Formats: sequence, structure tokens, C-alpha cells
Amino acid sequence: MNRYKFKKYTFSFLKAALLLLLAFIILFPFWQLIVSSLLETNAIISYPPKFWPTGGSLDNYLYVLTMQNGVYMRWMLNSIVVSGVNTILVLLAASMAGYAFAKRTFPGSKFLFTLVVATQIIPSVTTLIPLFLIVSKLGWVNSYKSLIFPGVANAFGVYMMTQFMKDIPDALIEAATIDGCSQYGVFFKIVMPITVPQLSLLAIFNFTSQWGSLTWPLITVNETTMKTLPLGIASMKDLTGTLTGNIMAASMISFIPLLVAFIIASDKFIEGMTLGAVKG
Amino acid sequence: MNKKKIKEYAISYSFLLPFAIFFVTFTLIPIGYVVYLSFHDGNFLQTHFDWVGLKNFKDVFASPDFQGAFKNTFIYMLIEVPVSQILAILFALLIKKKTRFTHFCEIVYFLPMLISMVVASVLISYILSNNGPLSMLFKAVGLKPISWLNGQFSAKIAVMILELWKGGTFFIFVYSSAMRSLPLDCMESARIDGANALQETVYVVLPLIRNAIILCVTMNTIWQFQIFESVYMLTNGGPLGATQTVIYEIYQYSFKYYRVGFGAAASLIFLFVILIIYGIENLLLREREGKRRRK
Repeated sequence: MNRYKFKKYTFSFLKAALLLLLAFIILFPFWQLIVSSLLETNAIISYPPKFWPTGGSLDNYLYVLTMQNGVYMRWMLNSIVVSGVNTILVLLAASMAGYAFAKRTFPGSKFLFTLVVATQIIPSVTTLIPLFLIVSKLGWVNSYKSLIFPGVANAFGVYMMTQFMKDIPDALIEAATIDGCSQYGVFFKIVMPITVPQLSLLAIFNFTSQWGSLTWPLITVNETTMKTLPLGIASMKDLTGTLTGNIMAASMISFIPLLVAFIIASDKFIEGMTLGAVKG
Repeated sequence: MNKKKIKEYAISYSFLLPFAIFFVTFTLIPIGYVVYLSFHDGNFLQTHFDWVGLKNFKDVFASPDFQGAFKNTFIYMLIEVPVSQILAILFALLIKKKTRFTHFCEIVYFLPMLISMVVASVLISYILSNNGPLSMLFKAVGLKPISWLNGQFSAKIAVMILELWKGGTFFIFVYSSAMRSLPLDCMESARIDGANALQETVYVVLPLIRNAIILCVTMNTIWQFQIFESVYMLTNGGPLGATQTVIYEIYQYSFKYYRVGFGAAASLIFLFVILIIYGIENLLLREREGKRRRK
């Protein structure tokens, strides 16, 4: 083996070692989550840490699923309803607005688009207090409405859909109009179906961030039965912050739906989440 | 003709209407409202607020809590941003060539983005716990284990570890996709000119992804400014306020002490800082454009 080849092999070995090290750093906490979710709290907090669920059982999972008359399932249902309905509304509102901005002319179109894009740089915390006041004046505290509706004003979604809609050939829309399709028909029968790949990216991006959202539910919900999963799990921590086997199991279950979706469509997820890079 | 045009416009506006309703109610009105609130005093229970002028802004600047929170936020930013960006560029270079192995790595690196900050904080607080795996590692190599969440500085490091673990890999994806979209002939000609891998990276690849770097640094800086959920979950701002952040304080003052005007003023100051960061980003991006045109 000559020197050049030797150098090359060392280099690719180091490369693989580094990549595997990071993969280990990412995967190890997940493994520990699975292990501890199967152990009793005493086993979790005692030294040395356990790396294998010896003597483990599914008791934590059973406890979580049945605690307080199945409140965990209620949180799961809330999370599904909130993330799901919000995502559907975002897709509908954003693609309609995006279509108007990209493919239709009307006075004020440029100004309105700039206004929508400009509000993207305003961090959500700036409007947190007035948003809460508005929601409580509407009487929406502790309801699905407060959890779902404010998030529909998704300026990033409109920006993204406008960019996608620009790629649709005008000839297609004209042809449909000449064939006697109404303006709404063009949108719902032609434009929506051909933007399904882009809509699915926005859906993944939006659903994932809604599923994990803590700040807004924390402010607007205080009834146990209206909590979403992140808020519910956060409230399972006691004042000492001890990590119990129940919290581990609750975290694990909350992660499973997205994990299954990710396994089915990992490339779509990677594409969808990195779209956030445009958001800046 | 005119009638037809008006009808066309009406249809266009009707497409905008669903979004517009939400946008006005939950974005535009709140922006105006927060400005109004910042000049007034009151709490959530009152129906009317008293005009107090600039008092809230003065209070925010004079508040030791906010001074501490701003200081902490800057510490997070100054340490976390360079560390995560340098690591992300390094790993993007390693991962940019598409093979089965790097694809596997991509899938693994994506996992932290999939989980919520709540779950991530459970994972990391277990790793950092007093009898946890990291303590074991420290003992094994002969170091004294650290009680992460009890020290003023170590608690900050713990928050940064959580933020880095949860959000750091995102930038690997941004950088690697920027690198993959580079024209291959640039790298080829550098190789023909006799550049080695390091020279090629420093003199060819990095300058070409300059815009991606500016974008990522800006995004990361703004993320670090917006730290809330990780602190809420991991430390609750403690010990002794060592990990408080600006948003954590806004949350405390507005929703725990009900000082709405104070919180609104703090939100606006916060917005101002964010706008400055965006301004710097824009200057940097435009400087590049200017250079290009001169050439």
C-alpha cells in the first residue's frame, strides 16, 4: 500500500468514525428513553445507570394509559385534533392565498404580499400577550378554538405556496377556463391536485411543529382535559423534577405516531423540515 | 368590460379572504395591540388600561431580572451559535457525498427534529442527571461528576447542550443541501490546480456557501434569543435566575405576575433586537451582491 492510499484510507476511516460518533450521541438518549420507560422509578434514578431493561415491565405504559380515567388518551386525542385541524386549515388558507398572489391580478397584490412576508420576521412572542387578551375576550380559553385558530395565520405557508404556485404553467389554467371550468373549479379541480407534493411538505412541517408546541397551550389552557401531549407531559413533572418511569413512558408514546410517519416517508420529512431554512 | 374586471378582482379577493380573516385577527390586530399595551398599565382582569407613557420601557431597562435575562441570552448566543455552526459545517462536509451510509446518518440526525422540546428535555435531563450516564462517563475517566442543574454556569451549559442536541443537526441539513447544489466544475478545477481537501474546503466551498452561512447564523442567533421551552422544562430559570432568558421573563411577568404593560414593553424591546439582527443579516447579504456587481 503506498502512502497516498494509506492517507486516503485513514481519512475515510476518521470520517466514518466521526459520523458514527454523532449518530451514537443522537441515538443513545433515545435508547435510554426506551430502557427507562420499562423500568421502575427507583431503578432509573439510582446509580449506576441501566443500559438494558433487566427486570423491566410494561407497568409504566399501563399506568400512563389508564391514569386519571384515561386522561392521557384525551391528551393524545387533543393533540391529534388540534394539529390535524390546524394543518388542514393552514393548507386551505395558504394555498388559496398563494394562488391569488401567484396567478391572479388584483389591485394591492404586491403591497399585501409584502405585508404578509414582512410579518414573518416578527417573533411569535411579540404578539403573545395581545393574542391571549383577544382569545380570552372571545371566550376561547380552554377550548380547541384557541389552540387551533391563531396558528392558521401562517405567513410562511402563504409565502411558500405562492412560490410553488408560480411554477404552475398559465396555459393549464387558461385551458381549463376555456373548457368552461369556473374560477373556483380551476383551483379545486386543477391547481389543488397538482400541488399535492408541495402541500404534503407544508403539512409535514406544520403538523410536526404543532404536535410539539408547548408555549401557546401553556398560556391558553389550564384545564387538565384540554391539555395537549407536550403540556400534559410537562405537567406530569413534580416540583422536584424527578424523572419517573411514567414520564418516560408518556414521552415515548407521544413520540410513536410521528416516528411511524417518519419511517414511512423519511425523505418527505427531511425535505419538508428543511424548508424551514427559507423561513429565516 | 369594466364590470367583468371588477368581478375578476372580487374573485381574487375571495381567494385571499380565508387567510385574511385569520391574518388580521391573529397577526395585525395583536401587533397594534401590543404597541397600545406597552404604553398602558393594567392586568388581564381589568377592562381598561391606564396610560403611563414610557414608564413600562423604563421599568424593563431598570429591572435586574431583565438585565440578567439579556445577559444570559447573550451568553447562550455567544457560545452556542459558533459551536453549533462549526460542527454543522464540519458534519455537512462529511455527509455531503450521497452514499447508503450517509443516508443512514441523515435519517438518524433527523430524529431530534421530530420530537418536541418537552420530550427532548426529558431525554437530556436523564442523560445529565446526577446518577445518569454522563456522571458514569466522568467517573470512568477519573473526573468529578458535575451536578449540572445546580451550578450557575453548568446549568447554562445544560440548557445549551439541550438546545444543541435538539436543534443543531438541522443546520447539517441546510449546509449539506447548499453544498450539494454547488457546481461541480469549481471543485474540479481547484483539484486540477493541486488543491488538497482542506484548501478546497476553505478557498472554494466555504466562500460559495457564504449566503447559507449568513442565513444559518442569523437563524441560530434568533433561535437562541427565543429560548423558552428548554429553560421552562429543564431549569425553570434557576438556579437563582442563572438560566433565565428574555422570553422566560416576558412569560413570568405577563402570565405569572400579570404585569401586562410591562410584558408588552419587553416584547417590543425584544422585537427591536430581532430587527437589528435581521438588519445585520441584510447588510451582509447585500455587501456580497455589491461585490459581485463591481466585478
